[in-house]
Amino acid sequence: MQKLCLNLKKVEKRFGEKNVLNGVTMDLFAGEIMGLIGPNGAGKTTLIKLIMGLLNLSGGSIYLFSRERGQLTSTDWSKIGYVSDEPNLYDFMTVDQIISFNSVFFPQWNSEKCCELKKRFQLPQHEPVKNLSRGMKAQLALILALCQEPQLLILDEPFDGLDPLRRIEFLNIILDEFTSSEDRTVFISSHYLEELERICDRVAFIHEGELKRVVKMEQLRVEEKTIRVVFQKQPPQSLLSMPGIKDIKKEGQTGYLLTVENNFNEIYQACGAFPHYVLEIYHRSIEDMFHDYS
Amino acid sequence: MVIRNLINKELFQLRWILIVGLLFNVGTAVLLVTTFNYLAGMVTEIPGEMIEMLAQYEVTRELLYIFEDYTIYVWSQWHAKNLFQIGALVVIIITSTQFAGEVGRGTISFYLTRPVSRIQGLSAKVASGVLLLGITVVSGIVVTWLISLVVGINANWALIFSATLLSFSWIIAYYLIGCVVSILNREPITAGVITGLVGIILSLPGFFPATRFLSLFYQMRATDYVILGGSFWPNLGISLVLNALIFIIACRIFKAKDF
Repeated sequence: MQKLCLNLKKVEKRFGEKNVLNGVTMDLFAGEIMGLIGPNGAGKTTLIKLIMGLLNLSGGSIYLFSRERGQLTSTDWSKIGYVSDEPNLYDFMTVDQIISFNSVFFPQWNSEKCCELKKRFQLPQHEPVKNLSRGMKAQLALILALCQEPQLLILDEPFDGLDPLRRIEFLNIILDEFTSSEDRTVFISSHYLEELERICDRVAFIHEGELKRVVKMEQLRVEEKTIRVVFQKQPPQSLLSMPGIKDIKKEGQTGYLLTVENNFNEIYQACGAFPHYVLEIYHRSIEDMFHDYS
Repeated sequence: MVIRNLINKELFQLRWILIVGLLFNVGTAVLLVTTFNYLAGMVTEIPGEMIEMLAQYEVTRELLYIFEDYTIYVWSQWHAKNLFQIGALVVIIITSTQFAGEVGRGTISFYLTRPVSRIQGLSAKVASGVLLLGITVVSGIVVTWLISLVVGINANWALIFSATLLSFSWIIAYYLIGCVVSILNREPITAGVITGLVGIILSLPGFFPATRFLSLFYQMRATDYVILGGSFWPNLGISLVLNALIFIIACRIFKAKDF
């Protein structure tokens, strides 16, 4: 049986009269990398802030490592790494000072890794944080979170401000570290959907404060496909209403984009049997899912 | 270790206030001690009939009284004037920086997501604030004492230091009120202005003899204790209970606040 790392039960958050999160229920298992996607204002950052205890719950409960959030000890919290959507670090400290300040909180702090990453990303040790670019601050925030050797790494738009090369480098580090261990878990919110697709085991889609869908990447890749077909004449309604077709988008007079959730082979054969000009298969991506629910 | 780390961070962040406060206090202490003999000498040279004439006015009566006794002189320059003025100013600056400033700069999420409870986080901030205030406020008195020893002017130092403890305890009450205001605000300037306004409101009872004991700023001067011979322990006890109550309120607000 898989070990639960994070468990959200009917999580609600209201700011005054406004409901920002409505009963979000979700599990995150140890060893997983889970993505959180959704349009701006969907409630992603609010959900992450609730998990991190920066916001108080309006309803529901959050369990981390099988313990209610409010009951977590300092030792439990030291197992959680967090990078916020804004890399706001102490401006009055230098890079080395903030590393030294941060290291004290984490018994499992990895100084060797920290030195290595600092060199690799060419962070100026004695430079005050206020003089760093946004990208460099984001790198520093990621290094701080990675060097505490967290069991659960929570990242809220961590790659904003990073150039594509740095983004890939950090993704590789996360993949190397977190896929090699069965206990280490990542929960990441990002708008870089292609990159999420590369690293995530599951993706949760949130919209207007509601969790619309949690899907395994494997399922998305294998089971969900899109058929693009341009028929020579109008197809019969029975073809378009075959079980397994989740969504139909029309392209021109006789062109269709069929989103297929299951029963793929039968639908594909039926389309192929009807006179057509074009018949193509596309694998579904997170981006397609994003468009479905937005 | 963790709390000490947080306190060090606060002190490092507020180091300029500490340095400026120390320099100001040391400078004031040096001036205060070295000019006493000169000023007191000037007063003794005033002819008797002129003193009788001047004694009709309260201001000059007070002035003559101050120069009669070095203990009263030190009290009048520090507790009755500089301590609460500097204290109030430092309170406004540090409280607005410590909480609303941290929210305004967005660093509060970094602070609160270190593995410490909110109460520990708040306690570290309050402890560093009290320490900083203590150093800033008490430094002037200590330097005054040391220079007086060197120069050879005697005063009732037990009275001066116990009055300083009373003043400090009441300054902490204002500091904790400032913390509450700053926790409730997201902008440091707004928090500073509101703390200042609250200070003005709290000083109002001090303008009327019947209600002056209710004024925080009147209590900061320790006038009842030094001049009127009031009791030390009840006054200290009341201020400590008040401080504990405000601290509990601050804890509750800080714990329930969304950041």
